[in-house]
Amino acid sequence: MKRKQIIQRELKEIYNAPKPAKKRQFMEEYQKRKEERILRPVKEEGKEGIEKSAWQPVSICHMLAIQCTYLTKWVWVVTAAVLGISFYAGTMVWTQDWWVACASVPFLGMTAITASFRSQAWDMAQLEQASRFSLRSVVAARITILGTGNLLCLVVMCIWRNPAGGRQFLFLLAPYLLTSVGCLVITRRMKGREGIYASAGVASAVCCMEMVLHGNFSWIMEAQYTGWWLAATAGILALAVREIRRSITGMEELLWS
Amino acid sequence: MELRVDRLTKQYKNKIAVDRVSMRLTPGIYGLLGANGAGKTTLMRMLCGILTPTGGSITLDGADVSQEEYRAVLGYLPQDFGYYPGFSGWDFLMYLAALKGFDKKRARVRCQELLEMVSLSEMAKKKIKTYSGGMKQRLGIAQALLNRPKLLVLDEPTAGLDPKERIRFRNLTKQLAKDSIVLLSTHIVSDVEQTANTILVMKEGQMVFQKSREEISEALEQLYMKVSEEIVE
Amino acid sequence: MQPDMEEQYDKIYRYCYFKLGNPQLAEDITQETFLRSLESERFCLGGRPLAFLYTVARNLCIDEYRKRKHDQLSEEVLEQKALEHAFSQEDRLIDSIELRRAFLELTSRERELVLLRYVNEVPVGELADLMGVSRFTVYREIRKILKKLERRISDEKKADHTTRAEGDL
Repeated sequence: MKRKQIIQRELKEIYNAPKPAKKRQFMEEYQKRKEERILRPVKEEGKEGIEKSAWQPVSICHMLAIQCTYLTKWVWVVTAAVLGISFYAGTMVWTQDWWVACASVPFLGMTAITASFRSQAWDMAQLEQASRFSLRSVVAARITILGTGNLLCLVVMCIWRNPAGGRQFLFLLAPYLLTSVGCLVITRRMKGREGIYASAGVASAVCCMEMVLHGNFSWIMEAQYTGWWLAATAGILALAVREIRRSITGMEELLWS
Repeated sequence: MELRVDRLTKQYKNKIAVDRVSMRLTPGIYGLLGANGAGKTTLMRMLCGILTPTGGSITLDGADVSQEEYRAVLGYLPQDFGYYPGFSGWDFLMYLAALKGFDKKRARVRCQELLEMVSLSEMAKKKIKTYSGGMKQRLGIAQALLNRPKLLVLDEPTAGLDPKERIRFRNLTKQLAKDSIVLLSTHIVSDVEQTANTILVMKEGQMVFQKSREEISEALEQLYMKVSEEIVE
Repeated sequence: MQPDMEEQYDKIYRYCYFKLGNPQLAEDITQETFLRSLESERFCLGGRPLAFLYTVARNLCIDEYRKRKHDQLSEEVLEQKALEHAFSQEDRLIDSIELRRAFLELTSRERELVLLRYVNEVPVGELADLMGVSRFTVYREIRKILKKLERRISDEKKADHTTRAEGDL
């Protein structure tokens, strides 16, 4: 071992070249040229090599994929928690366990909306808009991803409980949409941390409402009231659609006037 | 290469923010001066596809502002910008690079070179929360340069920079202006005094003055005061 | 990761010098290599920037050899010149003399490997890429070279001992 190190040291001595004479001058020139290359704008012909990216048409799929990877970890945590709680409750022997699922669903709504409208909340909207995609499409993409994902969760939760449960689905959908409506209104008006807390507040309120409903008014879950549920859910759905449209189309004016 | 703005207008219910502005820009530095509320930021936002004009058109070499090809070669530094909580300078730049269409490998190389250029390499992995105003501004400049823009729109870019950083920035824009259109707005005249080829002045939504360096005979400061009739620092 | 170009300047220069024996030429080639790297996609985006630099430098050196063919100065000769010049700089421990002698008996490819690995500290991955072989091969060859040197040195030591012993008699 020691021998090897001695040899190495000796080799360094052997390979001792005379000092380069023009290094300083050249390195300055080199840095200057490097900066020029960094700042130089895209050339028409430069569709290859280092400059390729700016000209590549970027597909919607690519954009969706990016938005997926940049969903905050909270979205995953909350979704997992909601699903986990519902599943766990489902394995208990209680007959009233259904309310756990319904009460936790509002939080899915909250994460969907706050995650979709992140850009505005954190003042990133202008920068995102000036990239290649319009902010509208970015937000629409997020809502689509999260909305579809959550809807799937709701379906899964329903199936766990009762494979034939169509009515059950309404019990989940209504509070989910209700929370979404509330959060949509809030995210239009409040930014940053405040908006998040307020949204969480809305979700908690709906959650409590659910608990009260199941606790004291559980008769409302019976079959004869399905019609009312359907009507109520349809109404909330209409509200939700209206609010989403408002939030997306009104983005420009709300943000930048 | 030419940016053509033709009778651009932005009208709100109770006010006209930008009033029939027309201009043709070719590579070089354009200093956009004007008091607060004169319409500078609104104009810039329209040039970046952020606000939709109520009248007129904007085209860069034939591509309209609403087209992807326009935004693919656009770089924008807004007056204020935020960041997602928990983002480090590196995360921020990589995110925007992803949005601009870079694949991971190229994004990494590009972000590294830009951070080195604006002297933020050491701070790159730290959270933006911890950045000073000047650092955040340098980060903003870096993101504007990600996609090698042909059109660079900078809204008050030197706010928060110390004198040394200001000089560095001036040299950067000089280099950029060789092949790109650099439009920078400011109300600090000295920012553009030495570097701008053309001066544009806005007042109450209108472009009241548009002259190249050679055509201006008097000192910029006096000119600005005369045109805008306000006291400037 | 981009290498530290300030550091690499000296290293590429050293590499070229021991191929050509001419400091000015070595520096010119180093600078040309650097300039070419600026625009190269392989250098900027590829995983092996050092392999790129050495490849370009090596090719430029080969071009120089071809130019000088009519001067009848082959690669080997140029390299020997450079080494001997370096050797003549200092006269130190006995070890050195033996090592240097042993060194001159290596092939030029073996010397190149030693220069790159131990003096310029090129990582094995890059070295493998540059020489067009596997990492395993690189390790094996280096071990062989070291063994060869060590054997040569101990042989010389024995020879010295015997001559000294004879001299004493």
